[in-house]
Amino acid sequence: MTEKGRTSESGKSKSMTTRVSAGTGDFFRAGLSGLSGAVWGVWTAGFVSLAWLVREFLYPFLGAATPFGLIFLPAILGASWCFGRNAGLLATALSTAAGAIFLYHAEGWTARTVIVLDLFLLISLASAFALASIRRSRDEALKREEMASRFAAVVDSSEDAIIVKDLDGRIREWNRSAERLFGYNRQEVIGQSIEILMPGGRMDDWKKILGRLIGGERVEHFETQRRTRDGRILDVSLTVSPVRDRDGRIVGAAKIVRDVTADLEARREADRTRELFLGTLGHELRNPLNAIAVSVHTLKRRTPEATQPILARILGSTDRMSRMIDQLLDFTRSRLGGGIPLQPTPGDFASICRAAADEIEVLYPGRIRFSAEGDLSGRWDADRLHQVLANLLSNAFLYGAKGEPVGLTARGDGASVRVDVTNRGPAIAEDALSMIFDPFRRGPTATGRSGQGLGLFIAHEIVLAHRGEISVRSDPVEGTTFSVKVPR
Amino acid sequence: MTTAWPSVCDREILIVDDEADFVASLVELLADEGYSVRTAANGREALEQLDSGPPPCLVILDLRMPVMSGNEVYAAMQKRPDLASIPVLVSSSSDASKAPAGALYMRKPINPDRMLDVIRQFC
Repeated sequence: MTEKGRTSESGKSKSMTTRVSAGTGDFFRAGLSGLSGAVWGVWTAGFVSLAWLVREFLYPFLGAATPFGLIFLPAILGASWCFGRNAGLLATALSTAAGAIFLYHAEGWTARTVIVLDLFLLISLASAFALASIRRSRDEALKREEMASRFAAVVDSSEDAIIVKDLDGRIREWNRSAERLFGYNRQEVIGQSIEILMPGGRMDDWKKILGRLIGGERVEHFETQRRTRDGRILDVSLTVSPVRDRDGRIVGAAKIVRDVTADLEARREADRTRELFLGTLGHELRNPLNAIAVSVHTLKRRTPEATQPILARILGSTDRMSRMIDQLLDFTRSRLGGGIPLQPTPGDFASICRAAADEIEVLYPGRIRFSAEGDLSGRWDADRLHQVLANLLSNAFLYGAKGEPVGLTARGDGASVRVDVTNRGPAIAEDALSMIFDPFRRGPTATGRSGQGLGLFIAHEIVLAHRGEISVRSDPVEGTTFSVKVPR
Repeated sequence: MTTAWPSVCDREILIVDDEADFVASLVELLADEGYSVRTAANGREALEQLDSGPPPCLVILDLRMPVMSGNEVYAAMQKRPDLASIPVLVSSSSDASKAPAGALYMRKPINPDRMLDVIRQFC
């Protein structure tokens, strides 16, 4: 592929394609391709009949000296060339029969007649086989050449840069888009090491990619960087395929290089805009709340006992508003594609469970049944998982049976840790279960209670950010259990 | 030219924040606790305040401010031997990841009791 491609600049490719359809015999090929055996048989008989007529025309002038072999051989060669080996055999058979008739009439059956016929048969068969074989080889070569030309034309006109390299990292193919992208001409780059495109620190990139290909792995949309002739660093996406020889051995790699610098810059710009928006929103919403919280706190210290419940209510509402702002910001960030940012640190899941239980037990004293077993160590964002568990525990009390305890069970399980939060009480309806982690969904028993229906959505996003799973099952007998499973 | 002040003023706190209502409420809270408070509305004012008197026992620092950000103030303080040792409590609505390493961090809206606990460790 590469050899053919190398000799076929776009102009050449066109002339090669033209030549393929203009060769001798292609008139017949083109006109008769797909004909059945009966039809090429008739054509072959026609060739032989024509030779017969020529012989009849010459006989009055030359008599017994008329060279039947020289007259019939072109018919055999023509049939072999135009219609292949079988037509050649048919023409040989017909010509030999015709020759036998002519010789018999001219000389009768003699030893010479038999020898001449035998010789004619041998020469005809050899010629028919040889010519048909030459024609087949030529056709196959032309077909390969045509395929290679078409392929080269496709490669050359591709909008993506296409580069082929051998196992030593030498560049073997380089299309026009590669010229445009990297600034190197085809002539100067063929045979050069692919390392001329590698920025510092990524010199071994191509060896790793080749290693993955040889290991049978597919390499698609591999994002990396490459250096242009003038030293610019491009963000590129590579899709690499192995190039194999006839025996199926990998002899190189063909890669499609797409410049994603603009895409990545747009993505980074979108990220920056999102963070700026969220940062400003958070700042503007939290600051007044902050002033209220600190002022009320000071006021609480200065005012008499009678006004304390009023101030406590203001502080409680401030806390709730603060949590709602946090939830809305998390929701907005998730919907804008930012995901939940994590700050993982090594820690113990049991202590995260205890902290969440302590927080919720202030409202429901002595009602959480906590148990832990196995190794619960791992690396997580403890604050975020605390938020998940506090939400699940709080929901368990809000929606569970009144006065019943809530179970909190943590289990170390190989490469992950699983935590179950279980409450007794009415089962969650089937249709509600299927969309329980969707935003702005609230349970039917939550009427009149505060909240935006974002708690479980955010819990779900936090668990996803940890590459974990969150699920729920619910029935009237066993109660409702939310399970969180996160890798260590 | 900076002046090397003789000792740390152990009951004085510098609040650097552009949110006037929050600063005013914090001044009230800290005054009730017996602290004297200086304030600055941006990073440049903060560095001027730090140059104009004995070092405070603690700087309460916002991150997002006009003229000069909290991170720039912290970096400038770390380059100055006379200011590098002053404890800094970052109080910001931004994530802890945005706060400079080495500073204490408390997310807004702050819990006043927790803030007072932290302040008592240094002042």
